[in-house]
Amino acid sequence: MSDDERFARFRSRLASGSALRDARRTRRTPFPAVGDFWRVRWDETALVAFVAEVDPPLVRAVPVTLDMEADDSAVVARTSAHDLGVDVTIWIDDGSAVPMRVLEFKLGSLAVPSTAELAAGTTNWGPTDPRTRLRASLQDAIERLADAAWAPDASAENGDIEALLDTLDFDDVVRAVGSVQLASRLRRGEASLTEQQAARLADRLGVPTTRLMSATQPVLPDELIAAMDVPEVRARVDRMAQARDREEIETWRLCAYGVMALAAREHDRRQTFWEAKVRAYFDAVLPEIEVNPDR
Amino acid sequence: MGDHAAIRAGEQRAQYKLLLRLTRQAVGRSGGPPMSGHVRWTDDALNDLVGEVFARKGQFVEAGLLQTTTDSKLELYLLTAIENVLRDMGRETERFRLMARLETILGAETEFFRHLRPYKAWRLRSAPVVAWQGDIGRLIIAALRLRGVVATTWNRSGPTPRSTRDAIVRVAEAALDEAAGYVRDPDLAEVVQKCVPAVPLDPDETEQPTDPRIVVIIGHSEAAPGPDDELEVLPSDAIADAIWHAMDADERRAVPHLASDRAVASALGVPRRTGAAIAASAKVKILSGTAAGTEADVVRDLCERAKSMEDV
Repeated sequence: MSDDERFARFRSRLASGSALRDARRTRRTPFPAVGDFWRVRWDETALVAFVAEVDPPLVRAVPVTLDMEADDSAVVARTSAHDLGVDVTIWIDDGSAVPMRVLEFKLGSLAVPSTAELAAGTTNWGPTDPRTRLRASLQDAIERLADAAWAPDASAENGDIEALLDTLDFDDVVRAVGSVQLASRLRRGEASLTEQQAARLADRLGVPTTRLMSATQPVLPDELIAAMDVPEVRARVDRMAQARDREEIETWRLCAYGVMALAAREHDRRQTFWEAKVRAYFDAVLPEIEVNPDR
Repeated sequence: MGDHAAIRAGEQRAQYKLLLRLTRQAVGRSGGPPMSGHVRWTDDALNDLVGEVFARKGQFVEAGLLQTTTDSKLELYLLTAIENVLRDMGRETERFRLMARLETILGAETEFFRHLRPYKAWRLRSAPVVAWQGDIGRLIIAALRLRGVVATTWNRSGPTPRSTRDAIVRVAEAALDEAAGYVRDPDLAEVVQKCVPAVPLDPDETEQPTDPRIVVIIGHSEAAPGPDDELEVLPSDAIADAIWHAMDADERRAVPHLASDRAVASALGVPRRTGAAIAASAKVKILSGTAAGTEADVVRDLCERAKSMEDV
């Protein structure tokens, strides 16, 4: 057989995966709905998940596999029951509530009203059944996703600005932030830093920029975090992290402080529409960023 | 290891090249015989193996792309999928040989009844003449309750050692008792294969399915007992050998740490539940292969093997 013939045969085998390939390319990020299949990812943990419940800011994510036979804890969703183009196994018993921020892009959706209409797999025979170990690893992955967070933990990181600054000469602090007045106010916990000031100071202290920012900024409001956590915003954060070659969590935080700074310029601060502020922030910063869909 | 941006972007030629490279690597590591219909691992044979992986694992390339985040994890995912298929194929060849072996061994025991119609099957003489149509997991669960079942080898030519024969008879009896009907040969052979730790066949032997020495006549008892049959109790190193072969690489590495699931997880660098699952599987393999009271020697032997594996 010639190389071309072998390759032609290979291409025909890939055909049934085209729906997934297209989904990876288009990376749709609508608001999640029950019955959706998504790619979920946080840091280096990635899998396919079925959305069984949506209760913002959480969703119930059920792990899905494309290449493992179901056991009696799982159901089999044949291609007639969804638009993924390949048979999948939905590990119903191994789902858990995870923050919506872990949803990366949508792959498709279930075409039947519920997973209760799908057939369960065959009996799992215990610890030596390969599906037992697979389920353990899926549960471990879901647990890591359930803990996914980017917002600084208020109790752990705030309020230590004085202790942090005491490790540096006052003159070094002045040089980093640009004025004696600002340096003194910082020490008293009365001033906040711009990203550039925080970056210069962080460099001298050997700590992440966002740690300084979170130590000098007011705590991020829950409403702002919730407004950032939707898939559409997450996709923009990811693109920014990639374009600037920064850590993702660092980027989430920088964006959130950017939104805060934007909101602080408002005259009426009694009521902030965070969704609108988040949108305005990204509209201002993202156009300059090249989009690379191949990640 | 290259930059897999082209593969993530869905470039099929790049995916094809990567799969061929990983398939060649998997074949090299397994040392097994080439696919049926091939005499060597040529590009055509590798291509057929890629096709086999697609047939068994569906869209495993897309699965790998969606479930991994780095190039090295993607390669490991795909390589593992290919190796699993190679291993499953090896087991199926072995199962075919085991079916022939079951005819000899169970045929010599009065409690087993042979069916040739509507298909080749076994039942206990005391069981009703109905076809078992249940779930193989149930039969495996019933057979896994037994202890001290181990086979020094599945089906070398010549008489089967008594320990192997006893293990096969006991497991088949437990499974057929659970089935309460007649069970197809491939299903029963699969239960035996999953429940009896055994040293696998050499690749050379799997290549000779028509070896005249293994052709048996149903209903005839085996050839006269050979010297192996004198062995009442298997030495612990033979038992350890069989269990070692039944373990995968993770289970082998876990052996010295089985006192604690946490220790297994940290030694293997895997998360908590995965570590516990590996430990549980390794323990079941040790327990089913050993008789009560004999575990200590076997575990000691397995630990030494694990240590020498680490030293390499």
